[in-house]
Amino acid sequence: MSTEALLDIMWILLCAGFVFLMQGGFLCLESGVTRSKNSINVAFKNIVDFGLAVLLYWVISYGLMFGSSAAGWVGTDGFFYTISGEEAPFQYSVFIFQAMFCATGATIISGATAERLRFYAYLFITAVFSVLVYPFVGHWVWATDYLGNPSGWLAEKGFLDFAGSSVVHSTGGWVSLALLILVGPRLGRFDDKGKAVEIPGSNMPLAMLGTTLLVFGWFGFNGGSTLSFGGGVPLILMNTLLGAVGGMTVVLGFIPITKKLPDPGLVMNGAIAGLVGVTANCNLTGPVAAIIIGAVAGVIMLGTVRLLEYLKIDDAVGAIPAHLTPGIWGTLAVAFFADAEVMGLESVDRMSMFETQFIGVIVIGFWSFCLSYVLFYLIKKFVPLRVSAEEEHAGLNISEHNARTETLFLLQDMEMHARTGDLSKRVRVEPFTEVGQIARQYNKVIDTLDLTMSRLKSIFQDLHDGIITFNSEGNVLSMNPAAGKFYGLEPAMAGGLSAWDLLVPESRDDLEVHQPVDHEPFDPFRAGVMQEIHYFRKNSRKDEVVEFVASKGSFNNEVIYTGLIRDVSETVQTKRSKSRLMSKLVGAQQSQFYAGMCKQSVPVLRNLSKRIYDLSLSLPRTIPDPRLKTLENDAQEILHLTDDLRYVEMQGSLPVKEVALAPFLENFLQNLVSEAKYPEFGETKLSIDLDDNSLQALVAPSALEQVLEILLLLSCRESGVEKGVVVKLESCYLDHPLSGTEVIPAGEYLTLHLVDEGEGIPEAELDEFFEGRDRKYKDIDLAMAESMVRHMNGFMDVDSTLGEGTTLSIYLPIARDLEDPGEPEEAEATVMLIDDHRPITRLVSGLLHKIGYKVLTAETGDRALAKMKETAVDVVLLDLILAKDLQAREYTFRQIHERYPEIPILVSGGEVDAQVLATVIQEGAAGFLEKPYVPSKLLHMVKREAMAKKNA
Amino acid sequence: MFMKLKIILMCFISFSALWAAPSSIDSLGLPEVPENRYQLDEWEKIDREAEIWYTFYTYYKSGEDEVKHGLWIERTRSRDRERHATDFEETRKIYYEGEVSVHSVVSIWINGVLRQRDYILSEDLRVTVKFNEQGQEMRGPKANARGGRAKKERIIRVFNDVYNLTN
Repeated sequence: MSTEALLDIMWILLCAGFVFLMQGGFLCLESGVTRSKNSINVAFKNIVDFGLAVLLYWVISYGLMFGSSAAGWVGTDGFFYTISGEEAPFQYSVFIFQAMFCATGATIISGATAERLRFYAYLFITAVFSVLVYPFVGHWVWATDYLGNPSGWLAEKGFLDFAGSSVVHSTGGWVSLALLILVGPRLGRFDDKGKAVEIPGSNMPLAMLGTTLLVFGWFGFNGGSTLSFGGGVPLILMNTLLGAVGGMTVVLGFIPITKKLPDPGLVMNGAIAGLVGVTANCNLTGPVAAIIIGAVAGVIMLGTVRLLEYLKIDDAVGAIPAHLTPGIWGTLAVAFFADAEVMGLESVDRMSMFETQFIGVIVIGFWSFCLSYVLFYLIKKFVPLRVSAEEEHAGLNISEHNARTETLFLLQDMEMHARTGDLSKRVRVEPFTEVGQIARQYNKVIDTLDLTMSRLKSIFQDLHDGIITFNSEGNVLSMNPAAGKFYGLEPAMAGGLSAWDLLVPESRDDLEVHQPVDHEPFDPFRAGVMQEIHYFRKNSRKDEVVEFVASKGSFNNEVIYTGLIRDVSETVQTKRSKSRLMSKLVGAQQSQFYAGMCKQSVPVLRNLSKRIYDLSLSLPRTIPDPRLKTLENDAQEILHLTDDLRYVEMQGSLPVKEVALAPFLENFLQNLVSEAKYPEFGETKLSIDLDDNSLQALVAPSALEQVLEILLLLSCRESGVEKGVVVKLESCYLDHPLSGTEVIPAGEYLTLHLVDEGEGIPEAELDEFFEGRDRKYKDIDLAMAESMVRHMNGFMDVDSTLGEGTTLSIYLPIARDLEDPGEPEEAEATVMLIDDHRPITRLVSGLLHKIGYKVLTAETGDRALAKMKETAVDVVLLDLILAKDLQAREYTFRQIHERYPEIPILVSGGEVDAQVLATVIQEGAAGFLEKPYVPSKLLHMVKREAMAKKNA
Repeated sequence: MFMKLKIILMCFISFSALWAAPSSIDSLGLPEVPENRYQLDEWEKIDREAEIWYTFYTYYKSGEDEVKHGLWIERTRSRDRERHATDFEETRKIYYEGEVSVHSVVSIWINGVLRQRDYILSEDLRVTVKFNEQGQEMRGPKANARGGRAKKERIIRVFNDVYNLTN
């Protein structure tokens, strides 16, 4: 082999190396100008497209491109390219060089469509470019016959493209354009108004290194295209260099004109555009022409950038402005700048040459664009070319390669902080990296934030007042423990609950909202205004009042409300007590005055009535006169009253006796209607519901009649003629003090309710309802009625709803008739009585002692268990609602039943929760005794269970 | 599916082996330098009156017979005898052990300047290079097509080497 032949081979291989280096240049450039979340994907594609393109080039494309030509359209041999003989070294060198060109063309597509294509879709696109687009165009332009004569149809026409402005760069650009139209821009590249939004590159120095490598590699790209090392090479390299410089400097020159800061990306693309521009003609022109061609290519690049933005085509790295349009320009420039002397011609027919070049540009563009568009369009119908929006947002490094980088770790940890709000963990710190430095600083910020948050959290947690946050839709976002405790919720479970459901619930078993009717409707969004919410807690039968103040703020454009909940029940109660005390003081002073007056007048009044009564009796009854009878009755009544007054003066209470209230009431109401003392009693319809109650109460009958007359008169007036009044008698056992307008101690009561359907009484007036005379009917002295009931050890209460009516209630102590149970059938039985109400304990103990049973008592479940350890017990009588044992109910029952399953347990209670009762019965309770106890029933059940136990 | 692909690939390989890149100049059988021999003599004849005014060849003796081996040159002048040294056509051939080569080189000089040279590989295949009056190579536009020129230059370089045309 001759020296020249060896030199040629060496030069081609060297240039192939240079062109391969361009792969590295493209890799750096594309990775640098795209975002770091896609950098691995971009770089990886640059590697794999090279591999795939070269493989396909060897298998088929080299044959299609340089094989024996079929009518100038396509090569027909040279597949799986293998050759032997003397020319093999040279031919293999040429193959290597040409394969690098094919890979370079494929890489152009990678840059343009970066940051959105699926990886496998891109591989397919590379295959289409390498097999169907590039080799055909290459054959038309570069194929030769045995003797080196052009065999491609375009070349035969005289089309010239020395190193591939059209064959490589425009072709890659056309395919990129087709793809970009099909897949669309990256998310966020254009705003809602269609204005382009700059997506900054992740590493511009790396991109600049890439550009430098490209310029360096281009010496091989153009210089090696001679496929021999001859005298023309230096001029080609010179033109290549000047083309790059021309493109770069013209873009720099535009910076002062546009009055913008230098854009490194544009300047780099200016250099590349200049290189692409001279690629077709660098063997045919002189240095001056080269620098002009490069400069014009730079300007064309700038115009193409604007045009793409206008058309909303998103070219990630500017491949179309740098490769497609400058490639077209460079190809056409052959006709303008080709030097006849350099070409070895007498003269150049520029018009004819331009015509040929123009046809070539159009045909290459048509083939590349249309073929790829149609193919990719069809593929897109079946397989998505583009990643999903979520994957694009996360970055292709993760979605396509599951890649992990320290930046990704940092972002993931920061995302975790943002999502969970848990600042207790710190982000991972990769030592000796820039990201590690950022992570370290971020952790310092988190330390400070965590400390501040801990302090705030401590205040938030320990605050006695409740705090809730909720959004503009009313969804509760968080609450502190105080709020949780008040509403009986776990703070962690508050998320998603409506502020309405939390603050003013409509259907809660344990809490009712008793919002005063005259109050404005509650609105949690009324910021800065203090609103009162009135609750009734059913379990503890307590009224509670909270003040609620909302404040409005915003976070991340979302409106957030913070509500402060302050329990002011005690304050309200104190205010009411003060008010009541003041009234009572005034009342006491009045009473003292009346008492003084009474003291003086009662003896006189008694003597007077005694005389009238005696006189009436002494009168002859020959002529019956009903007036005498009336006079007699009145005198007798005054006598009873004065006796009562004297009794009260001496004993501090009225003289009470056991009265069966049901017949008493029936008789009283009948007389009341018949006597028609007040017209209201005759006109208003009275309904009586005595509930077959046979229990007796301890009352002073005449005083009770007075009270009933006063209250019934009020109810009748309130209801009016059309509506009626219901008189209702009930027995009840109050486990807990009933707090309302009046505190009533626990105990057994007969309750007399007078229910009217009048206008109702405002809540504010309820507290002082019994303080004096009725506000509407001044002749009705409620204070007197209340005082009389008190002197019978009873209590009065009023409940009213505006617009619905009023219920007046009289609580009178039940008179226990301790039946004589007779002789015990079985002695020696021991009963454990668990009840915290001493009067009941005493009553039941007395009953059981009478029949000879031994009784152990305890106020709590624990104490009962302690006693049962020491003494054997036959029957347990357990009050299910123990005020002193908060863990009572089924818990106490279970404890006893588990330890002593053989001992029968009778459970009792007043208003026992139905679910609790059902539970204990299911779990083995011997029976249930309702309070107030019916002694005979109590004894019967205890005896029955004691017998059963003995027999067992 | 994979079986079909395998069959298609096998067909490709078979075709490839049959056609073995015929677009390569390697398949043409380019001129080769004759084997070196000792005692190779030169024969030269110059007759300015004759139309074939110059004849040259090398040979060796095999018994009594002359066996041509190596370069063979023949120059034919134009009608003007006086210009025989400046206006003539030269034909070069190579003898290999008495066998004349298929390939040859035909050069035309006018006014002492080489104006055309045909590198003839076979009857149908030839590379023609033209030069202007100053002796500079004249190329057509197609001559600047990428790769073709290199291929031509390699053929020419081989001919020049074998036919001793470098001087």
